Amino acid sequence: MAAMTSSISELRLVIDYQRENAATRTLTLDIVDYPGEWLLDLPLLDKTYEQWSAESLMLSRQGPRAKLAAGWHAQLATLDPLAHEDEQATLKAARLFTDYLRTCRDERFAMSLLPPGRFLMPGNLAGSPALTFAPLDVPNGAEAPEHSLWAMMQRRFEAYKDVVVRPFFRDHFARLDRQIVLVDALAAFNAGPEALHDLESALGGILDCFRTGRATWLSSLVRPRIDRILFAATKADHLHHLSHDRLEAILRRMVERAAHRAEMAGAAVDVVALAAVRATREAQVQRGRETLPSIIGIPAAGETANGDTFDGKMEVATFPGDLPANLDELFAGQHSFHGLSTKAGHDADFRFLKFRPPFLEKDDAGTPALPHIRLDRALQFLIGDRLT
Amino acid sequence: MTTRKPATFKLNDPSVIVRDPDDEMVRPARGTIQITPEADPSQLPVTIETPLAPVRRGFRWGALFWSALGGLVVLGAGVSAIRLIDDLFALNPGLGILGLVLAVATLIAVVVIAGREILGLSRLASIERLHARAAAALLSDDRSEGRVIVDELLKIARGNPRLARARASLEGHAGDIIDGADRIRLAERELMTPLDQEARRLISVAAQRVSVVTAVSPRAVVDILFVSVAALRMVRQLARLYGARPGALGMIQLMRHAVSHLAITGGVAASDSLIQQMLGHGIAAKLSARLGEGILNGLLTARLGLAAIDVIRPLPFAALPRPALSDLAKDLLNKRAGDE
Ligand SMILES: Nc1nc2c(ncn2[C@@H]2O[C@H](COP(=O)(O)OP(=O)(O)O)[C@@H](O)[C@H]2O)c(=O)[nH]1
Repeated sequence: MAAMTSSISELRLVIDYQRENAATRTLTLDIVDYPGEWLLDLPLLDKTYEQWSAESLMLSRQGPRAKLAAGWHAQLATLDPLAHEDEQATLKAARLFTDYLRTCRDERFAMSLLPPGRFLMPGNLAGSPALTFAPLDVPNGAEAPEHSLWAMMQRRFEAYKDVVVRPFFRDHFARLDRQIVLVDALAAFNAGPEALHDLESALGGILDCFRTGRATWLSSLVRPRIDRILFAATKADHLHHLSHDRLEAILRRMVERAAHRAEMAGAAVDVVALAAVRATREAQVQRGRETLPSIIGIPAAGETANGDTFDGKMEVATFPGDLPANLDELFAGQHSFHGLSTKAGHDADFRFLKFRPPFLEKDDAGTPALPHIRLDRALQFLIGDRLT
Repeated sequence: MTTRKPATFKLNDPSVIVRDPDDEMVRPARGTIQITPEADPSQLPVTIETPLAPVRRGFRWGALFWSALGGLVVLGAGVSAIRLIDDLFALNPGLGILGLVLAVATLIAVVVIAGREILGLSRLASIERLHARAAAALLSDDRSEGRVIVDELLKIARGNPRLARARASLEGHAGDIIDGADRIRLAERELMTPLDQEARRLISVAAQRVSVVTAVSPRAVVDILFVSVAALRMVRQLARLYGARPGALGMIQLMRHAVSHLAITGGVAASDSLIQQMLGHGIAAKLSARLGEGILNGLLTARLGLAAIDVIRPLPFAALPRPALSDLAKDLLNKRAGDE
């Protein structure tokens, strides 16, 4: 986790190229990188504070999240929504709530559906009062009394929507016309079925952002511009290329329904397994009668497997486990496989290690180049039509 | 659901052996773990082929001429046949009926032969198209195109029982590979390996036969006749091997393409690689003029065979090496040297 995307950044690339018919052209490419978490804020716009509170609370009482939320729940129990507003209690609640979200994202749990996005990825809002609110156990069907804790939280939630969420979609998202969504499905496999289900719901939420054909406040805000969406399962170098088809099939299944809607709205959708940086090479490991399609690489310092902790220098061959081929079974239950969130390391069904980046190779022209997997295909899908 | 648990092996562990992929396969000793690094499939360079015979453009007056002339001849034959039958009936009804039966039989045979020829030609054309599409897909790495091409290849291979095993193993693996170019390379490795070996054998045999006969034949006319018969036979065998069953017209078409391909790619290369072959083996000095001539003819036949492979093989050479003239020449020279 050396460098995570925590804020928005942009890069402009000007490509001069010559067409088949010898005409010279220029393509100006603006690459905008922003945390995927921010997209998860979009559904908040349709929700009231009370709805969001109820949903967040329900989610935090389910599965492995309940344990992680214990600290926050304890403080929540002491709060009375109808009491007079209290800045200190609010600050504390917001902090505990953020801590809970943060632990959920730990690699052992790898949860994805963790709105509001700015709590985890504050960007330029770090420490701002816009982020000091938290869900409350509010009574059903009642109104927030004036000057109550409830009313204050409600006010801040609305302010969050107005000053944070809407401007992002208006100023950045609306300007995009091609979108690539990078999905780390392997982290979810490391963690367990709950993480996978969480990822599925999060992707559903993200896809709502692209439902450009539907007449909502969004279509009035965002001209239906994004016409190509690529869902990329990243870190494909963490498994043997014979398993890439399964990785793709799993991601395709997760985005299927929503992708269908996007396609109806005129956007092309594709799914690809790729690696921006290829840190491994492939090998067959023969153990007794068994042949395991494996990868060879140097695990990052501090990674563990079979009780060994790696120092960032030693090379290993690793077989990460067979990705399931039967998707119906995989998505059917909470116990379709075992991950780190419920089991100790050696009982888990998958172990995708993090690897150190590879040594730089020189390309034909002598400039150092990082090896990759299918980045060319991704580019072809995203901008290929603009370069003909 | 999953059967195989994840496992990690340290490469510096004493019980782990890292094997060179080129070494012979040995069963690992009990309790040891053998790791074989794999060549990187996606980093293979894509070779861009020299195009086959250039496409002709514009109106084909020659074709019009031959079709029109053919039509006239057919009409003439039909009219004279009708006259003949009429005359026969006038002479004797029995003779007339015999004539009619013969005419109908001729007609049926003509239709069947023409049908076969057309089928052969279209099969040839579809193989050449498949070749071009595969070459394009190797470059573009298009997924759906790769899938379609491999399916069509399997359809062609279905007629060849020798490929049953290769076909089964390809059908088993192809689903695992998602990249278009990789899929085509896999298909090439599975389906073309046995065919390429057989093709090489066929060419060697033909070249040897030509070189022997021309070395001992008394007359140049006999040479020419024999060489053309042997070359035709070889090209026909190659075509059958790779899944085309050309008829007479198909053979003409195929020979035309092979010879023009030879002219584009082979002209220069033929002469210098030939001379190199000769000098390299110091063979010219050792052998009598006749024998040298025989070998030269053999090598030319081999060249024609290689050109025919380029034309008739449904896939371009991407994952497998293109058989080289030098290999065939080696076969030829070894054989001759052995005979001396
Ligand atoms: N080997 C490998 N590591 C990757 C790949 N993509 C991401 N990573 C790892 O994941 C870390 C976080 O990636 P980043 O793109 O910054 O994540 P973000 O916060 O979601 O934008 C990186 O530092 C890499 O170690 C990949 O394709 N291959």
